Amino acid sequence: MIADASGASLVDVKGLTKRFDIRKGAFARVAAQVHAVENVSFQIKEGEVLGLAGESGSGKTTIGRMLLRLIEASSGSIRFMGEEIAGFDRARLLAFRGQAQIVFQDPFASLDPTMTVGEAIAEPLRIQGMKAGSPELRQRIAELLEAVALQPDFTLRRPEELSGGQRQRVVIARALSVNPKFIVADEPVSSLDVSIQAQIIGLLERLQRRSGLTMLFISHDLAVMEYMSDRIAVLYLGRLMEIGPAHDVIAAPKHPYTEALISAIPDAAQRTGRKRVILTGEIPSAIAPPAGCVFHTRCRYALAACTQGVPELRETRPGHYKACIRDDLL
Amino acid sequence: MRGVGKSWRRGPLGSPRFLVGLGMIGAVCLLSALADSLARFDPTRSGVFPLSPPDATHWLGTDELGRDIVSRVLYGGRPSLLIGIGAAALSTLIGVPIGLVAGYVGGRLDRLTMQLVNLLISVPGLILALIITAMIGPSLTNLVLVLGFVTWPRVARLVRGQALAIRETVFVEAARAAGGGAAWIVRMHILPNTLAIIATQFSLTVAYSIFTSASLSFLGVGIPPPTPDWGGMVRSGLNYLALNPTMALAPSVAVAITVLGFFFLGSTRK
Repeated sequence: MIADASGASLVDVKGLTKRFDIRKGAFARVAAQVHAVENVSFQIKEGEVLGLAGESGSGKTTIGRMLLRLIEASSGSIRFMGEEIAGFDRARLLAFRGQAQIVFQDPFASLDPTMTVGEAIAEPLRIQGMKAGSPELRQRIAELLEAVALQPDFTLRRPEELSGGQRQRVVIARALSVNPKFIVADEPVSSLDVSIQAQIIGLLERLQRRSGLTMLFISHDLAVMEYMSDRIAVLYLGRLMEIGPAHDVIAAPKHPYTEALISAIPDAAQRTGRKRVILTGEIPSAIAPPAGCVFHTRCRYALAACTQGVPELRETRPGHYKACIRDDLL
Repeated sequence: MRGVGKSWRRGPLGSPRFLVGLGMIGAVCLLSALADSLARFDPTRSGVFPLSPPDATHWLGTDELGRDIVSRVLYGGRPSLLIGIGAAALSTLIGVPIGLVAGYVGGRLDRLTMQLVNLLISVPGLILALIITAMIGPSLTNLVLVLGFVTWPRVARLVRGQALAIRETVFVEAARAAGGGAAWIVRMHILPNTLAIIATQFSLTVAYSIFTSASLSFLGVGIPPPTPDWGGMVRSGLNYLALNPTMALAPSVAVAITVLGFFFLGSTRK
């Protein structure tokens, strides 16, 4: 749907859908389904950082997990380097694990307390077949610690001795250990102190530039996202609302939801000269999402037609798409 | 899951309860090991002064066959400790793999295993042990087998619960994202994070087994005489409580110290 001539896409997602079953009763029959992700399509070019924005529960994390095949998609296609990842056999999946890595949100939970820093960083390499305690492995751990600006003596430390920022550096070093092509960074700084956030973002950006990493950067913090990303995709209730160049999406949002999201950034309202848009009501339930455009229940521009069909993503400017039927605004 | 496995590594060594437990068990082990040189009399040889009260020769008096009670208590620790540690080792060997597999694999296998485990736990251990021992006959090996069989379900249930919790942690998902298979994850993450609980349960199982084996001896299906054994000594001592109370008291105290020691060791969690 969203074709881009410049550069080959490393990740190609088409019609991605995930519905979680809610089971009830003695026979565990499916009582309802949570529509976590509905018909999402996008591409990530080699070396590009795609930001995935949205509120909690919008399906950001689910998409990130599906791209790495940590959970299976209900339908749709995910291609990595042109290959369908659902079709990977054991051997190809193991190779894929060496090419695509993840940085989790909570650095306190993502390190095993019984492992030293060195062991944690070495784990992906050992799974890929490097011998424990071999000189190559030790050499590689030293390089990685240096790359994330940690002292060599961190190798023997335990996670409990480290601060949140230091832990996240270890998690990043671990993700980079196998020289991946693609990294899903799932809210990598949102559980850190603000002063540490800047350091970690700076580190991620440096590492990304240096090795031309392709990245899916998941966050609810649009200011951080604009800084990190080449393009931004905005999710609401599991649907893609808008996708386009990072600066355009932030400076000139095309979708009413994006407009509201951006006006919530403390200084963005002044910067763009727009009024603050305050959304009323709650996010609708993902078990019974609204008909038509899922955002119409809270959209201040909604028309009767918005309840009818699900709006398609349409290109409004080169490379900038929105899923909204109203072309007369924004 | 913050702090999982911490209690094991940073060690409960700072806790007075743990140190007291360690001291008690250390003393019991040492006395049992050195029984040969410490005991002043042969624990199985009858003497000419039965049921004599404590005096300078026999510090705790003699039993109904004139055997020195101090010597018998010293030697009696050996079968108790062997049975306790043997049964706990067997119970760990059976319970840990079953618990790990049930907890990690989950699903129908887990439900089936837990039904069996809960069924076995619901039968009072002493009764079960009594019935089996009466059937296969009392001997050191049989007692280890019986008590190992009676205690493994608790180990399995505990390990299964921990495996279930660890399976859902982010670091296990991270290991999966790094390509780790089931065997890798169980070996590298689930087992290390379960060791603290396994060690704790081991100690409690030793305490339980010593206590239960003493109870079995007391009920008459323990180590056959003349081998000195605390439970058996309490049993015969009861008949002569009025003539020489130390005959029943001394082995009772020995059981209490050993069981409490292992209990302190096992119940120390920070």
